[in-house]
Amino acid sequence: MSSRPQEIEEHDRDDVAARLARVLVKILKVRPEQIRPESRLAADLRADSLDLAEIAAELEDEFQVKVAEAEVHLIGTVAEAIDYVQRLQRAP
Amino acid sequence: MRRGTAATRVVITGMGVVSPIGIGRAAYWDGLVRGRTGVGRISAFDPQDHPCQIAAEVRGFDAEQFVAPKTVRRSDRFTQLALAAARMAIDDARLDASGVDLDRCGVVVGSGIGGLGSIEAEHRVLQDRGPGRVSPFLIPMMIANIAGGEIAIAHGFRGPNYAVSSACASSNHAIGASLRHLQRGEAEVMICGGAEAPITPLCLAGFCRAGALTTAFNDDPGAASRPFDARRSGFVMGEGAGIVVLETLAHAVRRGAPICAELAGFASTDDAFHITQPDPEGNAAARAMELALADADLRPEQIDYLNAHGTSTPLNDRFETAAIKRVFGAHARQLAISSTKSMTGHLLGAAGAVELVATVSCIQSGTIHPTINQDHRDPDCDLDYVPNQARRRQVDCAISSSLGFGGHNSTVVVRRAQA
Repeated sequence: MSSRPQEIEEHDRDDVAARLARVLVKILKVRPEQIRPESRLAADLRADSLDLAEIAAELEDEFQVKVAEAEVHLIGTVAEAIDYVQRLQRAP
Repeated sequence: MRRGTAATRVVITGMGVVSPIGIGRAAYWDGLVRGRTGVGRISAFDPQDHPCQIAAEVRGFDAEQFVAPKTVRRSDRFTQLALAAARMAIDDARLDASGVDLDRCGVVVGSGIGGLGSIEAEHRVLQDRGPGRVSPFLIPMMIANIAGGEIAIAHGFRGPNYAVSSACASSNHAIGASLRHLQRGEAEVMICGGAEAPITPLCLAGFCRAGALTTAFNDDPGAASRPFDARRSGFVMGEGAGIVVLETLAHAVRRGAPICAELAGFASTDDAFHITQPDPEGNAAARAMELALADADLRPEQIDYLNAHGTSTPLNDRFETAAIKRVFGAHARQLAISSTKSMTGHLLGAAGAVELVATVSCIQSGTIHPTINQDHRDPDCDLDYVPNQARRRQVDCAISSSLGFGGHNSTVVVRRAQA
């Protein structure tokens, strides 16, 4: 259980979501309004395996985390991608 | 006289061009007839350290006008130029994908080099940031066949599809290969031509080191490309794409297509002499012209206009002139000859295609575009190069030659479409 107040948790998640959306807009050339938590990267946002490889590298730069590319290929939705980035941020 | 049947005769029904003197066939042709140069100081990067600082760049090209934004982001410039030219050619041919058998529509697009700009950019990434930051799109961006692949994806063409690479003869070979696919009944429509985006620091340095580029006109770029002129001292790099739509005559007639001209013949040979220098005897270049004329069932005296390779290098223009005299004999002096490269620079793997568009435009308009920068006569280049001013003249039959490093020679033959 997190020791930080819920307000800060929500702020952090919004921040990750906004920065992730910028990455997805840049790489997938989608419109910002197409990116919703339930949007599926492959089916809705038309990400292919090459896009996912590039997204993995972009996430490393954007969030200063170490991304295992194979894990990015397992992400289904935008919400899952936010979860994934936050998990990496919390990793020791 | 062997003219073939409607099933084996092949016509050009659409043409698209992205060139340093204009985007679209109308702007391009207007520039050629007016004798406008596309050569200027390089703007793509700072050329200050290079002995040659000029090139013929395509200006004002907005890829997103022709290509989906996501494709733009993951494609090299040469592919974007090809996609744009293909889109314009297909529109010009009024080719509606819903009205043709897509399994019988093929694509052959040539490129001398492919995505060199992408290779250079990602090599810097490799050195600066390591292998994990190299773009996953590098390979599909750089491979020379990707332009044809992207054209197929954009338009749904599922017929024969590959690239041809024979340096500066690439697009002529692509057009010739497409002619054969149609004549053999392997396709009904072929989208073909070439694309090149070579104006990069590495390519400029490489051609300079090979001694192929002029370095004498950095202060007067418009005068740099001067094929057949005595003061010529090397070629000027250009970029762009030319794509034409070829169809069997039967297919074109069936769908009521606009017919620009007949693609009547093709042939190719090789010098088997030197990697970069043309054979001084010009034997193989002459034989390509002779074989192409035979393929078209035309005699040399029937040719009105010759679009020369005419690079503005000291050797090419002299040897090409000798080869023309060998093929045409006394008729060589009756030929109107011009070099498109005097205005566009040398589009390398795209040269043959944009020069085919120029040649067809001569036939359609009854005007021959000039060779510009003709000020000082070279005694070895003493034919009629249509100096400096366009000329009215009916052209019924014409040929266009492209030669390339590796000793490649290629000639296409075009004739006025007959009712």
